[in-house]
Amino acid sequence: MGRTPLIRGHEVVIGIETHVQLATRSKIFSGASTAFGAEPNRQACAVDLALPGTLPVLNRAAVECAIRFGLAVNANVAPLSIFARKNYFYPDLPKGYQISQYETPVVQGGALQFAWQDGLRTVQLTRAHLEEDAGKSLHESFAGQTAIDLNRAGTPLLEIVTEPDMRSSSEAAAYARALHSLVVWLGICDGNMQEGSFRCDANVSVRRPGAPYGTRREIKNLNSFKFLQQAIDFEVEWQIDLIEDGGHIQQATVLFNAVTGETRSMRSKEDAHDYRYFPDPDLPPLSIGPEWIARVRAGMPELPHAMSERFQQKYGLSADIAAALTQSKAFAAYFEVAAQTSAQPKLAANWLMGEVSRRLNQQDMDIESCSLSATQLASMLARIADGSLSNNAARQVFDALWAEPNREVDSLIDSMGLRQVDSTDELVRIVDVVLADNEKSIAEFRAGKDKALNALVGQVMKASRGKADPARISELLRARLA
Amino acid sequence: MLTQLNAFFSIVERMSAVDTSGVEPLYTPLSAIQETSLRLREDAVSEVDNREANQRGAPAVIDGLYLVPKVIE
Amino acid sequence: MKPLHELGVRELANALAARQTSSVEVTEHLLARLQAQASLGVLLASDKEVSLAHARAADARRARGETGPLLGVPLAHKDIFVTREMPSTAGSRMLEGYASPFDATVVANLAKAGAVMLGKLNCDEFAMGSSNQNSAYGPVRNPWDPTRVPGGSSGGSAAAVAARLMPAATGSDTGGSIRQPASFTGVNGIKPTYGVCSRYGMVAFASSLDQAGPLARSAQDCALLLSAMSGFDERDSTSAQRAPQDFHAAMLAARDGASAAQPLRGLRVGLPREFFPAALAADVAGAVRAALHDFERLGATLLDVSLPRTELSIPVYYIIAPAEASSNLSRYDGVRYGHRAAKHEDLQDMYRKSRSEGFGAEVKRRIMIGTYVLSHGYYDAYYLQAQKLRRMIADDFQACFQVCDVIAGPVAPTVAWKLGAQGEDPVADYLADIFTLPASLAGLPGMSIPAGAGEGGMPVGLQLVANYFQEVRLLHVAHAFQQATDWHARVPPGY
Repeated sequence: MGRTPLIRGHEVVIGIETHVQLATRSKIFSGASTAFGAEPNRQACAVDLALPGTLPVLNRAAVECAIRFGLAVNANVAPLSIFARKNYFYPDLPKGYQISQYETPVVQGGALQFAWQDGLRTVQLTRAHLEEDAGKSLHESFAGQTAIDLNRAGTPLLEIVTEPDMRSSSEAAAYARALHSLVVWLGICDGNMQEGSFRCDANVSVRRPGAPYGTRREIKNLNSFKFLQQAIDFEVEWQIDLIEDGGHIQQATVLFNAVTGETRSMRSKEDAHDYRYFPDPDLPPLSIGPEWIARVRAGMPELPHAMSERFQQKYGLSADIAAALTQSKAFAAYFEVAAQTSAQPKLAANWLMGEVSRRLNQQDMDIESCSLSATQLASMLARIADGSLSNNAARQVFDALWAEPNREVDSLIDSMGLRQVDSTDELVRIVDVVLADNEKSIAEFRAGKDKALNALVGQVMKASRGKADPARISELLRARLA
Repeated sequence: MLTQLNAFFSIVERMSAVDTSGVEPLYTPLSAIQETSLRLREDAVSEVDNREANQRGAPAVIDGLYLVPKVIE
Repeated sequence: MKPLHELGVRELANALAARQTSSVEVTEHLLARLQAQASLGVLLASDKEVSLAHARAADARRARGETGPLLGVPLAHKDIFVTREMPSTAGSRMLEGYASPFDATVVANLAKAGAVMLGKLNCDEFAMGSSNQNSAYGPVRNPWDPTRVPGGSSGGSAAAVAARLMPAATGSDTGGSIRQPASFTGVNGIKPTYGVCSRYGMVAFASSLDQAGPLARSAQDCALLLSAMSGFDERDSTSAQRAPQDFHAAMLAARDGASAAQPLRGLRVGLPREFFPAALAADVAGAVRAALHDFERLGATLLDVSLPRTELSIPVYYIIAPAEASSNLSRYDGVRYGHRAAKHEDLQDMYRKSRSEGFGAEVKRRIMIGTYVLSHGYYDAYYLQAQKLRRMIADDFQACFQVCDVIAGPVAPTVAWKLGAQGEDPVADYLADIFTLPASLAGLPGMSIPAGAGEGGMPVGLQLVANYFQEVRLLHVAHAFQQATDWHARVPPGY
């Protein structure tokens, strides 16, 4: 593995904690809905509001999501795990404690592998645990006051913690993207970062190579990969500046200001907050037996890595291309339909990674909203394969199809007059006519002047009004003149 | 209050002398006699909007939002 | 017919079934009585319209042919249970006027059975206390002697039943809060096995210890109440998943080897030597031993057993309960409900002042202790050590139950003390819980039955503890004793 370059002589050490909102219908400990966008506090039931006398009851689906994640990263799914109370006061935390997991989380260990810098990188995971989300504080709506909406309180979260394995902000961003893809792929999270479904905290420290770990500061609530990278970059420079000025890093929680690009220590938080964790007496230990794990395992989708391997074997694709095609389940599914329907996997890969992706990016769309279906694309690919379409013509057909995705492909090709003449009698006839008219060129070719063939090819192209594939013409001529 | 708390802790000291090595804590009483494990709920929305009743008597509410003195971060 | 307030639950049910009276009539009678005895301080809330509406509904159900042992029977709920139709304060200023949008499961269960709600009963604040002197709304007086405490924390419940202001009441027991006031006021009270009654809607004090239970003037009445109150509740993750039980029928069922004269033949009663220490007041010891002698006459065999860690149950409880309480009470922050300080400068100030104004001294004390024992650096030495000792205490009981069927002893070291007496030294109060705490820690069912009289004629209770889910055994023993004696029938003078 290549060494990441130092920054001003310092090695950067990064660990990431990600809060993944699980895509369940109801909350982790109550039956209120988790749907986004409801009016304030209309999806906060008595349990979510911590009204006197209310008690938590755990949502099975949240546990299933955790198990699925654990299996996907080859972690241990704990047979017995314990919910603990994390005690602190904050207006968006109704009980004055968060139900989380402390000493025995549901998922232990595991690793995430992803493509990075022309290779594969593995980041070790420490753990993943279930917990409940807090509500939302709105600081700007009312002068001098903060408004609290508890609709989000109680939404299930899976907190995924890495070892401090990353050594650069770009690596951290790559990890975050890979984790994002995975949780969406598994169907456990909708991945909507604007809505707060996927939030990263970065623990950042620096050290001289070989020295022990430096004190880390935690950058909280980064909800875009770009901000994650920017925030870490700024923080690293800030820490190095402080150290070089003779200062010492104090453990702190910091926020990133996207406008200024700076990180700043939070005023109100005590840094070494004692959360007084203890096992929640309202929730007996969670038991996950081998039968449950086996059931979840049997229902798992094919994972990106395994699918990528399969694409390489089955379709003869390179590792890079296979990895790119398995960027999302939907993308891979599109590819497979196109590849299998057209029987042209390499062509399908090229067009998907090329023209299709380009257009999707331009229009800020994802493959799910692509109006050109995989089967339609496959029809076009088949025509390229059988020679009916030259590459040039194909691009024009693609443009037309993108605009009118439901047109019947063959009739579209014909209406555009782009059907290439190929190994039909028509082409042979044209070749014979041209040969008959060009004895000089034939003689020159037979005398060893290969260039004479080009002139003949040009003649055939002219005669067929550019609809024949030059390579095929060349083949036919050589065959005729042999 | 402090004297009272100190008296309390002198009782508590007696506890520390006991050797509890190898003993599992008893966080929930029934686990003394049986494998007590957490019962799970099916993932269904079972609570409807009850905001008016829930907020009856709330100290400060506007448009359904609870208000508190401004939090500075 | 006897005056209506002299009827217990079963007698009232029979009278109602026989149309000798109506629920409306009984309810009006008891409401008037409650008003007349306001000096006892038992009621924190009442609403005549609500009570009469319940009574009319019960009478209508009966008119439609419905029957049931609690149909139309009036009772009141300890203010630790939230109710939709009357405010719920848990004895605290923090929840003054609090209107719950839902009923506690125990309350709903009783309402379903047709019980009529007379009001909410005074209790120590957040169920923390042994004398009902920690209520923010004034003390409750013992009907046997109004200069004495009724016990706590279910002081209002016990006094109301003892003074015959109602045939039964609900209470809650965390470290003895049903059993001890029952003993001090001469009524029956049972704390079932942890998990038998739902905790949903019971304002939480110590989650791994809290249990709801009935107080009434006979074991039979307790059985009827417990049948209706108990049962699996899906809203409570610690609710025991067991089939519903008819405790009354089971209690009356014949036992092997028993006869009419010797109903307790074959019963082995264990007497832990630690429950009969030198410090036990002579009057209590005398009354308890006399009652045990009655047990022998009824055929029981008494044996000596030991619960060696009885004394340790005090520090163990007073670490675990405050720890859980400190966390359970964090939700009272003045944000969404409850008391919010009128004047505050910022959020932290609002928290501080709201909680300082809303909580009484004992609650604050326990929150401080609880916060301390959970804090980093002390957790292992205090909280973890306490939970380990707790298991050892539970194991000690199991060792006893190898050789006996029930454990018996006093409920408290003395009879009810004078109001204001132990106020300066809360730790002395803690020490008086020594006999009730062990069963709480183990989660075992325990019952207090009137067994004698002590100094000044004050009631003395006998505690019975059985193994897990053996409430029927407790009720059966109590019932047999009550067929042969009449301590439970004693009425405080003037009531």
